[in-house]
Amino acid sequence: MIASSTFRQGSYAAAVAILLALTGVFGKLDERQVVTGAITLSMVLLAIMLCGAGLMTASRVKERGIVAMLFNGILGSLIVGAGLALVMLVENAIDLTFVFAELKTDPITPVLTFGQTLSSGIILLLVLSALAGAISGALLSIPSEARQIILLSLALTASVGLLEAQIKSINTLPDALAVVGVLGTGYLVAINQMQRSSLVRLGLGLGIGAIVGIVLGLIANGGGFGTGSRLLSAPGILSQVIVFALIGGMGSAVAATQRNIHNGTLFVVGFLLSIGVLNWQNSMNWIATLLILIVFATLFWLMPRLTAEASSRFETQPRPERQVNQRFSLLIVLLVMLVAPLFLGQYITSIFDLVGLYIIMGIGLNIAVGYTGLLVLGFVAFFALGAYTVGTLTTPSLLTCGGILPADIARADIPTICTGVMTFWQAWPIAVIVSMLAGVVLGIPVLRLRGDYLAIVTLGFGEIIRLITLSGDFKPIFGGAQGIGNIPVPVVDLTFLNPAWRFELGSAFNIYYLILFGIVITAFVAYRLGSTRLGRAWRAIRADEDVARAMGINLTRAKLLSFAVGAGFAGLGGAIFGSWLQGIFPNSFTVLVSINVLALIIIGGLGSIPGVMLGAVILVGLPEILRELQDYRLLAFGVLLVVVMLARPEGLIPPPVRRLSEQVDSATPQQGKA
Amino acid sequence: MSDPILSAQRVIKRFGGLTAVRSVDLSIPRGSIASLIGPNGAGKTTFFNCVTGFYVATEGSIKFGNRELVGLRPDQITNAGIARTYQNIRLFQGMTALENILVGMHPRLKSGPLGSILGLPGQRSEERAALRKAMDLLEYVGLAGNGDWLAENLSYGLQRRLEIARALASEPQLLLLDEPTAGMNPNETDDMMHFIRRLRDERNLTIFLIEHDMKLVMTVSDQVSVMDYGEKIAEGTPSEVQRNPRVIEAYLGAQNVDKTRGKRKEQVAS
Amino acid sequence: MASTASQPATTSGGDGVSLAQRIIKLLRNPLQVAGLVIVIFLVWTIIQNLTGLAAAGRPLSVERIIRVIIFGLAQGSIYALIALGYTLVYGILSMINFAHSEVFMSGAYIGFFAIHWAEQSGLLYSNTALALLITVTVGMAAAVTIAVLLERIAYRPLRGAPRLVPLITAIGASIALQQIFLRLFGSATRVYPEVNFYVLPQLFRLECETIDGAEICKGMDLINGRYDVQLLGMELQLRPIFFVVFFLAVLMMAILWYIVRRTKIGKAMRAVAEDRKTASLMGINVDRVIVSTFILGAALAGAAGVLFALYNTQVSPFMGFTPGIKAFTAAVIGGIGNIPGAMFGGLFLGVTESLAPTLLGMSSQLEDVIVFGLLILVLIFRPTGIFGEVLSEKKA
Repeated sequence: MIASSTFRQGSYAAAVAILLALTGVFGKLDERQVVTGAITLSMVLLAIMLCGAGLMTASRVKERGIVAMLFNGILGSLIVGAGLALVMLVENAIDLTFVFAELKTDPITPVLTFGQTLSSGIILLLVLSALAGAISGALLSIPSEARQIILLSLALTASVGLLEAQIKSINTLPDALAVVGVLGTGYLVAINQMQRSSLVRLGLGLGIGAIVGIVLGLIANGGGFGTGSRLLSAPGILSQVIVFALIGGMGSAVAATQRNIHNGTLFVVGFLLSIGVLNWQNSMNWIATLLILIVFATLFWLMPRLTAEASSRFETQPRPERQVNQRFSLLIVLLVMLVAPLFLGQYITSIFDLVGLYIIMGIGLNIAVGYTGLLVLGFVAFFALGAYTVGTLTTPSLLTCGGILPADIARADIPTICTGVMTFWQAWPIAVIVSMLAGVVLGIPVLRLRGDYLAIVTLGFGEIIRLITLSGDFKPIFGGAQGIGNIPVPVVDLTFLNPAWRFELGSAFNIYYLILFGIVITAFVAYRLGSTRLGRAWRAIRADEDVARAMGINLTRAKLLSFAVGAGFAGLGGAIFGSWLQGIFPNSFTVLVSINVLALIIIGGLGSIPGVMLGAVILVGLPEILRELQDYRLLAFGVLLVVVMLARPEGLIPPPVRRLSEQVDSATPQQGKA
Repeated sequence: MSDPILSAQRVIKRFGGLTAVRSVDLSIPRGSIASLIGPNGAGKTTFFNCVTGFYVATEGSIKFGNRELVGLRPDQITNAGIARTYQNIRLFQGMTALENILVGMHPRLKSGPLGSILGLPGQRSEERAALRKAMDLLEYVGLAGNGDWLAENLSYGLQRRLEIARALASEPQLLLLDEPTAGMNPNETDDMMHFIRRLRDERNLTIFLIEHDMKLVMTVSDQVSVMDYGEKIAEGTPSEVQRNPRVIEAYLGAQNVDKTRGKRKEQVAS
Repeated sequence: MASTASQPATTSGGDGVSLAQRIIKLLRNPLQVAGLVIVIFLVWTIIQNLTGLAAAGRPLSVERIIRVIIFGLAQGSIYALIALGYTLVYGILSMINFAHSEVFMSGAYIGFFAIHWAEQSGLLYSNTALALLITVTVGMAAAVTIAVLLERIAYRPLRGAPRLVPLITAIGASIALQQIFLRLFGSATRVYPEVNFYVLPQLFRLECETIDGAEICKGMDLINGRYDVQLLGMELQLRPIFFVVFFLAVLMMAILWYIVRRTKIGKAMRAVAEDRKTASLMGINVDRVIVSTFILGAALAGAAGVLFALYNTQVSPFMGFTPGIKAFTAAVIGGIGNIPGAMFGGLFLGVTESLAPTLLGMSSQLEDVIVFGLLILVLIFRPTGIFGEVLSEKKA
């Protein structure tokens, strides 16, 4: 009845739970509420621990039937619960705070006894454990699809609850319903008109979207539904029509598209609806929780079915049709990204900025690591070089003041002496070139060596750059520990078109566009390079260096190029970073930045540009939002790196297999045109 | 036979104290099929590696036409017009059959990074032409329709053919095949035999191969060289070599040993 | 296959080549010429700096240089002990055990709790030798535990995976371990208690008190003592701890050398390093051998951690990073996979990094810059390290 594996697995889970408990995690997460006034983040964590153990132990006896699953699940969860109870007993018996320092401020007992006395709290904990175990056992006995739907929708509902304050005002329920309605109409129309070409379908989507937009706008403005809404109470009917037309077009494009885009759209729909519900209820109360759960459950129920159909529709189209579809989807994604800051608010936009910066660096590092297989551990060095180049060139410095220390110049004389001061636009190409050159100079001695050495030498190089910028010896140039301050923000001056059009890219909103532009450029360059002759050479080197060389590839040249392009992108990221923060400090350039970037490209999927983006959102965006978890961010990185390598070494979104033979087929008829 | 495409003179390769190739002289007439045979560990693959630049010959000279190969890097040698396959197949894992062939075309393509980024017309038409040629090559070696398969998912026999297609992609004048029929059954070996002939006749190639299958060697070769313990002990037409007492003694006697050893990898260095 | 296999052959095959030919060969490589220029520049800087100091009336005293060298040797022994762990694992698995620096840290950190307990219970004062022994043992045990867990959870499932995969796992494990220590034990720096370990009062008549007319000496304080010693007419201020660290390190390396060269498990290790598959066919339990390798390396690193903490006194979850990558650098400089190479590399690095700032006239902030610069220079001239890399694997 009881499997021996249950005890083993249960004790592993209990060990992990106890270890985490001793870090004071329960106390730290107790402040954050998931369901207002009812469920805190620490309870969610406890539930994850208990159910995780239950699921693990129960899954081992899956073939023995439901009773065995229930029993073993309960036992597994109980072992974890008992372990935690034991820790509480020990905590109350002896003083653990000297060794486990975090327990001083965040003791375990008050949280895990749920405000009861120790003894009744422990009994409650054990009862809850048994319950969690039973639920896990029961969950395992239902079909796996239903289980996945339940778990995923619970997870997403919890994350909506967590982010309540930040996302509540993004959109209203009427907004969400209108968008979903128009999107759905376009989608349905496209499905019914599959026999027509994709351009026709797009046109239909656009037209119907526009009509629905007009109708909705009239209803909303007439009936007063649009209060607080951004889309429905939009200033003019024209902009409303354009927006809804595009949404309708998106709906028709998505009806036949690849998995990623289709799933992504569905996720967006889910979040729009849940945020709408949250906005309507104005807090994460039980009604909102329940509704959001239903939204996500429906979504996950629909997702595999719809996506399979949509992608099979996509596959059966001829290639040019597919391209129209793809390009339109890409255009919409870009448009959404362009208007997103208006909806997301300052806080989330600034997080997007940070994520974007990491995406730029990730795309760069991906060229070296993902394409060519060069493990670079000191990527931050090139980021720092970019930032410092822009920093020294756009401020009065030794370089821009003709070799005179700015401190020795009277304030009034600075404009006349420091004539070398550049604008951001003049300085950033230099920053990119400096980083690339540094990549070449470092690469020449090291790239001919085996990969392991490259890893360690680049790690060392990263530290060298940081130490040099930090050290007193180079203070006149790099400013030592104080770094460089008063870096001017990039200015877009279009006053010759309109006197009011002078934009200082200093705020989170404005710099967002610069970063977005940077991402588009780097992603495009990386994509082009990756899919042509040089990219093939890089991937051949990654697969088998010796044979690649025997194919006539000049290893040194190809590796240097890859290294230099990657470094250049990091330099671009650094340049933007420096002028965004308007100051540079050596401590922004620690080895942790390198590890962040490496982790995100590995977890996203080596060699895959969408993977980099997803990785950056998960590894940079989420911890920024979950402030309580920030202390645990690096721990999670470390564990994630190990787990991903063990379980899914190709990452979350591995690069697709390139189907080149189709390009040959379609190239033949097009040859006349081209 | 007056115009050898490859001529090696007194090639010696030492690894520390061990001499794997002892003063080998060898020349291959243009347009012929030449074979290099010998027991395992005789130094055949080491000699191949010296020709292709994987190893640098310790002494001696290897000329390709008039060009000295010793001291050149493998990529330079490939650019000069020599391509090879490997005893244990070494395709690029994680890349499709077509991509493998396109990598093989690397030295014949010109487009640089800037052209690729900007998608200049020259680069585009070059890519299109390359793709077309790669498709033709696939078809030529009998892999039509497998272009988008990942190399590692192809069957063993197809992987061998893909490797040959990849070697052909660099438009070589001289093709080195290292045991092209290793691990094949008699039927497949027969196919390979015809294929090698076809390659020479249709593609205007010189072929130099290492092979253990005597039937194949004796049927297709114009010239057979025999190596044993790092030395060349005989050379001539198949019938001459078959009659040579030294070969019978050293090689054919040793072949029985080969069988008991099975298809162990040739580890010259160890 | 080609490049790496032929390198030892070309480097060792140069016995018959004359010096002039070697120099010509060296000069043919533009990279090595650049390296040579840098070396010449460094030597020139040193001379400039020394003559400059002499001209300014502040010549470097021999006393100071000796003191710096002794400190460097102690620091270098720590690097050497850690480097041995890298080299052992690399020799067998051809993998950089990136988390080895955290193994070192865990030895020092858990050792702190042992010595803290000894201090609280008074054992540290009543029986210092026993307390220190317990501390070192606990440190080594902690390090070994961590290393064994690491091998079992993170590395063993990945044997045979492409090179990048275990290396990334190791980086992940390294971060995770750092963070687990940080979150469990808090971010505050822990400080080893001050230990006075007096030995040999008969021999060293130091710290004496006169009680009732009789002079009673405590002896030499091995841990915390600083003594002015007259030697060959020089006034030297010496800390015995540096000698203790050095000699203990040499002793441990000797034991390791004995284990690897003379015992059965050592023979098995060398066999696995040579060819894992064949070794397992010969009836060697490869898993056991690999675990033993991790245990040996971790024991040395744990001991190094405690020794390091005894004279640096501060321990923190991040203390492993810098010594860790320096130790790896040492292992590469000596020739990775090569045991005597790692010892030499560690000592060489320790001495160089403590001497260089003085000789080059830089601030000691740039000490680490010198270390990595040295690594790059060594790799330019001898890509396989000074003693030559021990290539165990056949990459064909």
